Amino acid sequence: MPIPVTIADDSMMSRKVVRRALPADWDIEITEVTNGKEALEAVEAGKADVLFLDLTMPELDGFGVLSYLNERKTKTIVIVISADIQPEAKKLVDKLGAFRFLHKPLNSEQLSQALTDVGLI
Amino acid sequence: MIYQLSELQRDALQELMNISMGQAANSLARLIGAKITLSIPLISSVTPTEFVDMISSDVMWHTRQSFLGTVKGEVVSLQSHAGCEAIAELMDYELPLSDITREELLLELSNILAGACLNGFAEQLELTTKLSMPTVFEPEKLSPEHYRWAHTLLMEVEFKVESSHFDSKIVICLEAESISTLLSRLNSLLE
Amino acid sequence: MTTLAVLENLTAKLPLGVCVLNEQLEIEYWNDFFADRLNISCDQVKGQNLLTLFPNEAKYLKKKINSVFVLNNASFSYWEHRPHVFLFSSSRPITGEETLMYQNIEFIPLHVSNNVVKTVCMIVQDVTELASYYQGKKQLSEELAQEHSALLALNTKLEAAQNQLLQADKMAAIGQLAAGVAHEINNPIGFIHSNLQSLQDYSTKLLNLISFYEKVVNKTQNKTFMALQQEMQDRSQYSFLREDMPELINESITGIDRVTDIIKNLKVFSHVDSSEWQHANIIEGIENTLKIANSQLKYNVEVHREFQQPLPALFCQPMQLNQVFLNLIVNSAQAIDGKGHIYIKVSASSTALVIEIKDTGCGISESAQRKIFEPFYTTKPVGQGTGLGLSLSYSIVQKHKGSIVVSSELDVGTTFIITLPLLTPGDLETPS
Repeated sequence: MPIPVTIADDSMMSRKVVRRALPADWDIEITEVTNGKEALEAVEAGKADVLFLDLTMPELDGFGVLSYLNERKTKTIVIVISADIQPEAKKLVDKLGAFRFLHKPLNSEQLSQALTDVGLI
Repeated sequence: MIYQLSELQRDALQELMNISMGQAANSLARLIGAKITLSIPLISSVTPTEFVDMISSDVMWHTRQSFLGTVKGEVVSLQSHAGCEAIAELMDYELPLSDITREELLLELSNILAGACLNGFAEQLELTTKLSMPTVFEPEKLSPEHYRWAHTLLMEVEFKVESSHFDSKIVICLEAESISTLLSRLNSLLE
Repeated sequence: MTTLAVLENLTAKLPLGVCVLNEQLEIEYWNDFFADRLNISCDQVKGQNLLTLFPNEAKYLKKKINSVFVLNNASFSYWEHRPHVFLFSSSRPITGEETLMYQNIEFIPLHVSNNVVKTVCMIVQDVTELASYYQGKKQLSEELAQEHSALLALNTKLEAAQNQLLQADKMAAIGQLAAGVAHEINNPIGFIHSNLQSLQDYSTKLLNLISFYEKVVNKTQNKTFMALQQEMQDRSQYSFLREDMPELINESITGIDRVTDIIKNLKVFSHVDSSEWQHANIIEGIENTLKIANSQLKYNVEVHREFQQPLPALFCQPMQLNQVFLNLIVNSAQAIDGKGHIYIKVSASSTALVIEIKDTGCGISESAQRKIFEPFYTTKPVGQGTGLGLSLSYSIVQKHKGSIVVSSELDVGTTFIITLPLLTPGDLETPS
């Protein structure tokens, strides 16, 4: 059964980069969304067992999504992929329960490592 | 020649700037230990008149810095008058600021921000750029007729240090011929 | 020679200072630029800490160099801000005025591995020539700017002086005209006056004679003669004539007296030799001025006087001060629309006289109050007035070492307060 995965980023290029960095042999079904609201809708619809989340998005940003998911204690695994690499951002992301914080530009090895660490691959 | 960016190209440039900015903000944050807020990067093609309008401000100081390499151009930075003293304190300058130390501070700040922005940008596109030293610049002294180009590509980002009420804008301007070099690198990245 | 040897030679001899530092700021290499000036060869300096060698700018150097290690970004030092980071003597020890070398420095990341900066290279540029040239230019343009503003100030002063001369000239011309006219009409007015006196005398005598004849005719009780007398008197409108004639002559005499008065005032006021300093009675001057201004005041302005008596005499130029009073009184009258009042108060302290002229006119706005003493400032329509009156009054008061201030409220009125110190002839010698 393919694992439902959602990529949330308002930049088309960025979503492409994530897609390309995912392990080729991983059996997944990908949904792409462009803002936080759509990301939550995808989670509700069961399309996001794994969520790759950008922090700066319109409508509802990454932090908003994280706190919502944290409150609901959903089982979605969140991997934040962001350009905002200030220590403050990392602190907050960790506090809100993300599994990992990866910096942009995305390093596919780091991504694979994260997926291995969480037991998805 | 007017460069019409496709949606895809604009989106890509915006994302590249976003990432560079993140690195720049991180550099500055490490130096001053304060939180920095970033704006969404703006990509635009402008005429000299539009350029002058964009960068003119009587509440900001201006600096400019040339860069050479695979692509050539200049980085113009705008720093708010407000909040200068607060930033100076964070950067370990002696207060109160004299005209000379204020200039030193502005040049150092713009060098750090421009350097990080440009380097991040160039790295992702596999371009080499070398920044020369920044100098203070007064755009009011130049009129649009002064500029020898018809259009230029601008990539603009804004940094705010809220706790100090300090505002800074970095504008990367590309020289005409470098724009096509940029676009071809961009296209290869998008394939 | 191998490439390495060539490069080593080149670097050593470059006309720039080249110094390579590691993360502990220890010197790994420096070229002849440094070696020659400090007499420490590259081999001798290896391993020494930059900051111990150059303690005076240690804090600055440390900050600049560290930022390169941390940020992997070049940093710069400018001669305009830090002219002499390294205390090397000037490259122009004979002909140059400077004693120290001016420097531009660039700190660049040299060896970078895995995005971590391992060594930083410091490049020192001798910009003494440039600095000296630039400073010379800067000084020249500062001097130029100063001269320019001095010239502008002088220009303004000259303009003001010229305007005052023009105005004084005008006033003098008008004065002369007035004096001439007064002189011309004085004689005929004199004739008329004395003729009228005679006429008054004759008419009284003639009327008395007729009364006498009347009495005689009435005494005869002759009805024919009395009837004739009555008819004649009726036809000549005698009763009316007898009442009216003395009145007519009296009024004419009063009129002529007034004209004589006006002429006298005019002559006094326009006395051409007006630059004589003398002791004068200010109240006399004010009363004189009020007579001159009477035509502007009589219909709708009531004048109230509050004069402190006795008043010390003031050493002054009385004619000039009268011009000032006239200026203010006429302005007040013109500011009053319909009926109004002017209050003139004169008082004295042990050191000065204070003259206050207050009106119930339309007032002056705050922004205008700042400008009214400026030459050419006027609120009158084009063609009327010259706008010089108050500025001239101001300078006359200044010549008397006094002050004139205005306070006003729109639609309420305006008050001018002139303070004139009690001078002695000796005070005039000092410049005002």
